[in-house]
Amino acid sequence: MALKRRRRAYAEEPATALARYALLEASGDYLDGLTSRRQEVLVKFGRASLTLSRFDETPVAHWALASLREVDAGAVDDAALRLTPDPDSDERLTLRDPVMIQAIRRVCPDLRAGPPLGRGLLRLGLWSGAAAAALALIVLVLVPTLADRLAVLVPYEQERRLGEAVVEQVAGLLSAEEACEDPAGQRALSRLSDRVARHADLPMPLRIQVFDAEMQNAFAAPGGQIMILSGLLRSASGPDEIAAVVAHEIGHVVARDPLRGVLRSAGSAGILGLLVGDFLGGAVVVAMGEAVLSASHSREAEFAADAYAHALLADAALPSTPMAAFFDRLSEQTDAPQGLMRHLATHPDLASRRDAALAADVIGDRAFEPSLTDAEWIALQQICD
Amino acid sequence: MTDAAPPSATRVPLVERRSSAPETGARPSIAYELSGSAVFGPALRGAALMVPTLGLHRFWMITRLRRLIWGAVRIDGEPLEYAGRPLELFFGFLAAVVALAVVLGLANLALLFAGLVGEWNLTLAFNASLPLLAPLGYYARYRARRYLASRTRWRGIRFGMAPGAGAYSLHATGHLVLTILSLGMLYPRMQVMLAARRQSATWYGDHRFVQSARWRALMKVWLAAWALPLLVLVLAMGQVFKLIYVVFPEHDLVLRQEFDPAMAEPFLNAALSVGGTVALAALISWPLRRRYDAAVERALMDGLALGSLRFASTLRTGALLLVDVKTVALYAAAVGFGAVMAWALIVSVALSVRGVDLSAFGGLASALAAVAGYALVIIPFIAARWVTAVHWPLQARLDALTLTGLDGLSDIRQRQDDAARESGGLADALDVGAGF
Repeated sequence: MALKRRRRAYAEEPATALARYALLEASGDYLDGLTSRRQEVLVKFGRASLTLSRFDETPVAHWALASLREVDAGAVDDAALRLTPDPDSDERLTLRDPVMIQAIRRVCPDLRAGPPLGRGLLRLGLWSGAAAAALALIVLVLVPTLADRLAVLVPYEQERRLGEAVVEQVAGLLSAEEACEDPAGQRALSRLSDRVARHADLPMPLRIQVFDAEMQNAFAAPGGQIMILSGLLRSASGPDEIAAVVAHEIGHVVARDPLRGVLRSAGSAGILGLLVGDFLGGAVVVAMGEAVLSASHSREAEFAADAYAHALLADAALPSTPMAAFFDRLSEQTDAPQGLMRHLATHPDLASRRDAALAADVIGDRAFEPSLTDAEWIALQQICD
Repeated sequence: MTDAAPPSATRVPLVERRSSAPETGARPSIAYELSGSAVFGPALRGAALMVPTLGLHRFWMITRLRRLIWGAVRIDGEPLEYAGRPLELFFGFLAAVVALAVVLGLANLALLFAGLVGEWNLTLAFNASLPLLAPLGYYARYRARRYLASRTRWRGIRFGMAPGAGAYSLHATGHLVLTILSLGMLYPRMQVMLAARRQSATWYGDHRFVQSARWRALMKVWLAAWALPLLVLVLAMGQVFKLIYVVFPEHDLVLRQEFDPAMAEPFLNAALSVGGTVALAALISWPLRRRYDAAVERALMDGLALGSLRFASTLRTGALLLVDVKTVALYAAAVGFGAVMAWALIVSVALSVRGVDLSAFGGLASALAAVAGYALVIIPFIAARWVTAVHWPLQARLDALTLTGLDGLSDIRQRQDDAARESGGLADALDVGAGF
């Protein structure tokens, strides 16, 4: 563009310029686009055209000046000008006469113009939109739907096997290789989970384990496996908070969310990476995209698991207010992500989930039997010691 | 660079080497007139423009650099012409990504499900779609080559390549399996036969290229380059086993709790000898491998013909080794410079942010500094890659190349059929030789 503008600045009116160059003649190398034989031709200006003829005056070609284009040969050899009658033609003319080259550059200011931009931009937009729509369809609809359908078909034994692999991997990431096995703590844990799960519609037996890690959280893995991290036990206000968290994870197990999640991520893994290729900041964009994707998948799942947990706690005659306390602590920890970042959090909308937990409480100020005795609660808290 | 001092002339060129001074009158049959900085400059600018465009600019950069490089190749004084357009590349890329997303997404999902139900090893099930990438890569490369051929002209006549990426991909995958089964010994067979297949499918106008190179002639050079690293690998493995079973038979090297100081010296010696063997092998197999690469280039050029046109290459091992040395030097210089700049940027941001309110602004500033630092390292890397992986190897090969029988090229006619519509987008998506 810059080149074009500069040339226009000193371009004369084409008509006067043409008159000036009417007598100019130069020889050039002509390739007719049909054979590779080079022909030497005489080049002159005609009426708004460039005429190419043999030396015996036999005409070879008339090229309209308006559609004349320079062939960009990489700007290595600036002494020669390579021309084509229009951008789609196979014909070529190479000129080396400096006066003739200067004349053509003056008379044809559009020598370097590319194809009109408008059409290209429209196509660019249409194609990009179509590709984005197709990708969104695959990642947001096709893969999740298939994953959900297939998840139901996986036999329990195999799901358990997958779950064990996932638990092992997560435990490795948290550098907590072995599950904690203090017998008194385990007895307390199974009493708590029996009470919560009594009314649950479980598709498979539960297997709840505690791992020694600072993080205050719990996860559900495929095959009915629930991981509780000891950081949560240490900081919890009481056993009822653990009961509420376990009830939430049971909600995931009943919905078979973990298996569906693994299948979904297998299906969409690498697709975003493909799109950005190896270009700049690709890794960052991919990580953000995948976080948004998995968060949007898990968002509904989290709310559903909460609702299921509220019902379980009510059936077990336990309060759901401790769950609100858990969310409060979680949001303090994560420094309350706001705005765009809220979509990146795996536990989104903690405030609204906290309010839902408070609203779902059926115990209120009434007395209730706590999920564990004080002695059992202490044993559970010390399960990893 | 033009003449990488051949150490020992084992082979007399059939035709006199072209003189590096063009004013001697005789025009070189083929010349490549481009300096490294003429490539690095535009590549650096293009790579920098990829930041604000989120990488979209790379199709424009590729087109620009190809035009530059094609135009610098002068055959009988006439430049090659690259007629590809950036939007063609971009649309091809988009189509390829969508197709790949479907294929890989469904394949991954299906394989994991099959692995779960069929009780396979789960690691296997997670990675089972990886071998699928090899045939896809061959398919992509053929199509990319076909696009390049259809967009390349010389004297106004187009090159072209017959369709058949699917068949080529099957053929190549078969060769790959055979090569793997032979532990790499049959690699020259694969390399020569695949090159012959690609070249025999390539046209210039109405003339087809013919490749008559024979892979067996390369076996002697290959065996030297192949057997030595393999032998050293076996030796090193033997040393490791000796370490485990002979030197420390009583010690569990992996899970041992306390370290016996008396064992420290023999252990160190053994580790040093394993490391030394591997390092020595790498140092020896590098020139041997380049010697083979040069031999392949000479064989493939000597075997190539187009009508009455003949090719002859005098490529020497030294020229390829020089490219390697220059490659390491340029990467070190370019990326090192970027890294120093990035470090300076991050340190200065960290210093200026400290003390200021460390909430949202501090986080944003350090995130921006991290992205800018990443860009400062990756931009010179991308630019250097064009010089090291494209420009210098091409220069070494073309400087050693001579064409004879150019007169036969004057009666070649344009081939009247449609040019390849595809644009090599798949190769770009898979990043297999898409840069060039």
